[in-house]
Amino acid sequence: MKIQDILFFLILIFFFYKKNLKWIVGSGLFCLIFSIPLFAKWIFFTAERLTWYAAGFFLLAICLHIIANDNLKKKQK
Amino acid sequence: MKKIISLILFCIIIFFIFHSFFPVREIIGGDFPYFYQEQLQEFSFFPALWIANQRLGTPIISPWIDTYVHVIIFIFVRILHVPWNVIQTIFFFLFAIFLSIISSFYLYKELSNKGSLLSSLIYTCNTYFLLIFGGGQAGVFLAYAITPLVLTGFIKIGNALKENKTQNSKLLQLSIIAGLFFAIQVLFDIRIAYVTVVAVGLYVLLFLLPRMNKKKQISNILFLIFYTFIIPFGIAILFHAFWLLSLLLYKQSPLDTLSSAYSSQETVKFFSFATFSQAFSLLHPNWPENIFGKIYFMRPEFLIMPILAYSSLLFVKNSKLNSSKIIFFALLGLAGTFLAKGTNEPFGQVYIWLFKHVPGFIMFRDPTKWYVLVALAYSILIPFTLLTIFEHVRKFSIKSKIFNIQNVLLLFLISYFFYLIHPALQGKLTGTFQQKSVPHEYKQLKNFLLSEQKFSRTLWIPQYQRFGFYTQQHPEISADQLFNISTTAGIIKKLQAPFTEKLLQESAIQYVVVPYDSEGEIFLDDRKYSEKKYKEILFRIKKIPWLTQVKQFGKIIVFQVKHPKEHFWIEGSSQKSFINIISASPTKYVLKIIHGQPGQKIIFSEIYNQYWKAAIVHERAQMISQAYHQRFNSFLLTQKGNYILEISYIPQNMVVAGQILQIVTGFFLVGFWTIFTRKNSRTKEKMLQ
Repeated sequence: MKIQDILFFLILIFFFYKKNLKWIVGSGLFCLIFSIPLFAKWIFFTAERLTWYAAGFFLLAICLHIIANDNLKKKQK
Repeated sequence: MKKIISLILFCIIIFFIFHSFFPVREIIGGDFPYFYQEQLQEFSFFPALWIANQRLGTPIISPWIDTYVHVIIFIFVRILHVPWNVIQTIFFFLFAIFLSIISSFYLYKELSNKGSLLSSLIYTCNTYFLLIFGGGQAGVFLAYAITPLVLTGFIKIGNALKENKTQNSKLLQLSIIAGLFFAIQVLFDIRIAYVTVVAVGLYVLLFLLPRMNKKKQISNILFLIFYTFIIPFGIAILFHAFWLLSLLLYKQSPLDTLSSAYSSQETVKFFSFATFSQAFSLLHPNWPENIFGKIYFMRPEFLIMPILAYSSLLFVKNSKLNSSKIIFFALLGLAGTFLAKGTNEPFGQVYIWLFKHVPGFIMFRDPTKWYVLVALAYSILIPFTLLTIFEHVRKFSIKSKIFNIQNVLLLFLISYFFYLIHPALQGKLTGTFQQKSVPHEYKQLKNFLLSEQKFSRTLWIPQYQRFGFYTQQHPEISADQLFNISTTAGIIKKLQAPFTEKLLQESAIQYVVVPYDSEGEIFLDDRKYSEKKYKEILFRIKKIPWLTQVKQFGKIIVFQVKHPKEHFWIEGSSQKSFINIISASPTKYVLKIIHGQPGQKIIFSEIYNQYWKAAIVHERAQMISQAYHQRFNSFLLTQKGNYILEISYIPQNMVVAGQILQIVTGFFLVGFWTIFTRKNSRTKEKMLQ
């Protein structure tokens, strides 16, 4: 595990605690946008990892969406 | 007016990309097989479960796309005499384009009325579809094309189940439709059908089950299982009973016909061509050249695709659409990406674990099949994001019908999309996209083989070439399959071995062919045709003393094996005993034994399979095949004199039983449909009164 992976997991835990979906999705999009110039300059290692992190952020956003939807439905009932 | 302009623009784009398929031409390339007219005349309505071709005869365990090919050829080519090039273009290629457009259109329509054409464009013109299309993988691209329709069928059941008021007959109707679509998909390719089942499973587990009415939970779950799984899968099973019955009753595993190299861990690692970023960007790793094993670097411009797709998560809450469906497709995209990268990082070991332990996963040694999920997801998410952005932009737009921000954005997006697939627009895609013709040397070889009356096999060294001719009377076999060796050096060494001549004679091989590699697919050095390799093989074969060169058609060299045995022969036959073949089909032979002697063995020169049996006509006794030289089938004669012997492949009997089941299912469904439609019209009439 690289140092950037640890940083990613720390941010992920922070986001999970904060539950701000826009921030989470925004971070994923930022990772993808940032990976574009890196891929263009053939800095593949970091660029590839950024796409993984992006997917991680999106997955967290999806999970939080599902949980939030379920909670909302329970409250409505 | 806007809709008409969009439709015209859409049709122009589609035409530009697939223009090489208009007008109708002979399609040659990739995995799409080439058939001569003589071969087409041998096609039966349904495929046989045993073919004399390849590997000294091969059991056909699961004839999915073969069934479609057989039915189409039998009806249109053999009965209606429509030229094959017309049929292959219409029923395979144009049909796939049409089906892909229509089915993705309907899937998106299930979510929203706007953006369906954009969805169809993304689903039909992405790098994955274009490469499987160019690669001539007919079963895969047809199954891919119908996937959104199958998923729509299941989503409709889900929607109906969520509305508790839906009548049971309506639910049953939806289940039957989903089942029929699923059965068609299985007919095309069971692997893509499996991928669809994963998508349906995910939808049911995460988005349908938690939304069930808690008060009647058990009955609701039973309803859900019955309408979503039992009926649709039941219909698919009944429609495929003609091969499933023999598979279940005779317990023949499809893996038996494949070498261990097919299912090993190393093979999966080798076939994991796509990186995570490529799968995430819906970029096929072989784009655009489609050369097997040649993987390209990630192209950063494709990353706009996931950016657009997953931006949808920002707009879910404020959306008019069903937010859970957007979440579902986003999850589907991520799942597809993770699986499509196979054993590559991150968490590559998960794929190996799934491959080893999950039933059916063994079919996915090539993980790129999971791209289907990514394509499905992006065909929904990207139009959704774009439409939401357009809605936002509209507030700030100038009120001109043409010069507004929306149209600028649209123009920018279309240009970007064109840029992504520009090799397709420039006609640079290979395989079926390119026009090719059959070299006249192969036509000469065909005529030469056709002039031979008696049964004989043709051995291709090192392997069969796509234009090689074969029929039931002259099956082909590749040397790599006969000797189970993949290297050319190994094949030559085997040919030089002392017992090989006898093996070839007993295998009824009369001709040995060194092919002309017109397509640059056989004699390769660093993925390019090597004349040196061709000459080297030819030089070594010419030195084999028991092979005599008898013909040459350009670069095709034909050698002869002296005194090959026939399809059926008697071991230790006296001059008096001999065999006359009265009739022959791939799964049934009727032989007349003349002066047979008890204790004599009839050798059937096809690979040993325990399900071949022999029976003397009008007698009950049956003989089951015994292995001869651990290779061929043999039957021990017990009677003296002249009699008729019927040799048949037992699993073929199940095809008839399966066909009956198919017909009964068809009648039942038609009956149900008629009753349901009448009932519906009566209800409507009553309501009107």
